[in-house]
Amino acid sequence: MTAHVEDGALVRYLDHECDSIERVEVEAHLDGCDSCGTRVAELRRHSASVSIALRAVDRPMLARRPARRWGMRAAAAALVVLGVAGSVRPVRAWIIGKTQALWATVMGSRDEQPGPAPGAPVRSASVTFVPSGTEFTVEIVSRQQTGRLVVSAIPGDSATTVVLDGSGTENLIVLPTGLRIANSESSSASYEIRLPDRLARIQVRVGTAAPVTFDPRQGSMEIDLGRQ
Amino acid sequence: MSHSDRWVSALVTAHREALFRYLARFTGDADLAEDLVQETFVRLSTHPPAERSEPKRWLFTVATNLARDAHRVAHRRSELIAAAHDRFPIPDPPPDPAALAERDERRARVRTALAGLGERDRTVLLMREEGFSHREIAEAVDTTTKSVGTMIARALDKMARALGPEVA
Repeated sequence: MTAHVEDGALVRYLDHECDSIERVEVEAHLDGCDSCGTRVAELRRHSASVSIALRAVDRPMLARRPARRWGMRAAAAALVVLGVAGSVRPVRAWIIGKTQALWATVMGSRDEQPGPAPGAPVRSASVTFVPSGTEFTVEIVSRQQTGRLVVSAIPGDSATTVVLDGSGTENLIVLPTGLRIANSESSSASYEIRLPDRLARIQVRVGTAAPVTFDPRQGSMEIDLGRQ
Repeated sequence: MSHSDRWVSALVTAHREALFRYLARFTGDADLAEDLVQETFVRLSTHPPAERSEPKRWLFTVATNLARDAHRVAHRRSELIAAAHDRFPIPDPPPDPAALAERDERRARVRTALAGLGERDRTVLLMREEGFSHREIAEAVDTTTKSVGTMIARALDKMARALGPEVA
């Protein structure tokens, strides 16, 4: 081998991915080439350093989870967290977070920051879950002072509910084929619900009014929740 | 519990933590990573691969695709959040601002370094960290096995430069 060894071969050499012929060639070249020897040492050093850097900022998955669950009394009874295993239906939901968590989806982590004190107003929150079946029911327990409900369809299996301008009294209860929003008449929250577009039929009921049914594939639905 | 359920359950146990680590690094967002881990296993449960001989590679490939999709959703969500920005509360200060700031800075540097890689290079680098062979990585990013070594070298160099003297 007269030319220098290309980087790809050096990485294969470091990763024990060379076949026997290539390994012999690389080793023979490295024996007589200081330049490639320096380069392979550099790649080995970078590889180790990057691994260390990545591991230094990793967090264990489960260690974070309890801190995320504070506050949102919502959903607790009906949530199945990591409920994929075993015989549990793939209905799962969890609190992605409140205001900072939503920001973090876009801007990055804000772990270890404490949330607002229990009982403090919750201005924004979201829940993600996977409905089962082909029909879904959204129930808003009562009309409110103000606020809007928007229901739309998105590709995929997941559903997301975002609460904006909540007072902390809105409870989201996720069921296998429905979502119940236990709100109060004094609330001014708005809710954006995105459901999988595979659903064939969505029923929306607000307070004591007759339910409204629509096909999510035909478009979205927006309802004024203010008392009329 | 059916045979299929036991299969899914075993894979959740075996790969959940590694998937989370991979996705947290890939997306730079631990919450999103948890979401995507669950979504990946939901896919496994509802749409399992026809060929079950390489479930780990299947899981990581699906997870990578979901992470790419999630990035687009996150962008859309950012517009919603930005519109309501002025209504959000200001959080309490952290208990130890200096320590948290240092840790956050370190994390931010790693996140920035990863974000600076092209999507394929990032996938290649992080799958290598999870112990995948070059052949498996090549299949996941749809390239040749020989190209993977070159992509890894490029990614390592770029990461080392971005992370600076602390790790170079």
